[in-house]
Amino acid sequence: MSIANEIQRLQTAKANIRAAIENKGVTVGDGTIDTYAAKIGEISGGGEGVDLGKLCSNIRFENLNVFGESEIVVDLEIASSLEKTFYLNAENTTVEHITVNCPNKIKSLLGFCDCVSGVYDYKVKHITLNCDTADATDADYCFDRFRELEIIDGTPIDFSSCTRQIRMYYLNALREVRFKGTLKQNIRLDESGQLSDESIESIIAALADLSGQSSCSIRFNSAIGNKLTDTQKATITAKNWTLVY
Amino acid sequence: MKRETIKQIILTADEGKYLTNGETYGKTVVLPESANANEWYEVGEEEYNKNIAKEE
Repeated sequence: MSIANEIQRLQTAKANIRAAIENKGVTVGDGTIDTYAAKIGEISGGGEGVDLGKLCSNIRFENLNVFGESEIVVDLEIASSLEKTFYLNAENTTVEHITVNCPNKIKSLLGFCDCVSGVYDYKVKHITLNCDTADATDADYCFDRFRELEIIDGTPIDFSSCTRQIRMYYLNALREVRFKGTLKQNIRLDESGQLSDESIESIIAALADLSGQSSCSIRFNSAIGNKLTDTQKATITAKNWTLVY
Repeated sequence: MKRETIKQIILTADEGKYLTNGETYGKTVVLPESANANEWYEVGEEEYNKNIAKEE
């Protein structure tokens, strides 16, 4: 190789190294190649964080304040259960909107968004759950003690496979929620006195027809019960459900 | 023309009372005709409040 070619090769390499250093956020400026080693040393070694969503099939968050953001998105790529994903033991002063994306069918929604006894959440207003829940066998307390929660959206919640009752307590501000599938277990929405008409229709439509089988009960807040139409009450009892409010 | 006859049993608690089947509490219970209304009985505020406190 000629000297001229060698010089060209080295100049090209120098330019590439300079560009690579500056791509990492360190300014090379007019420095000669003698300074490049020191410049490489200035590159931050933070690297990328660990992607828990790719590692863990069952994650639990106990304190939402660690996120430091009002909106969080949690991608749970390999999760097979959403049991107690958010099981709070500390007051949340930060997060208002939680989005959970889970591409897999999950087996449990037990205590998905819940708090330990004596603790309530007064900050989260909106939860988006993008997940197929049709195979979940337990959804008791799936949403519980989130007293300012107004909207649950994303994929309509499917309780078809649940094998025991579903208690959704202390959702005092809940307006919007959508169910689908065929619910065959007792369900309680005791404190949800602000459900929209569409939410109520969605819930009633999701009650399985239990004619000829054991009856189940649905407990609405008295404000909801008192505004149900005779047709809605008839629909509920025609499916062999007991309505309580 | 569509005609439907829906029969229901409607239980309403007296003033100051609640209806319960031992698990669920409410002021009004609307049952399908085939259900056993005898499962439901009245309780006072004290027991109702005790139940709420237990679930907190």
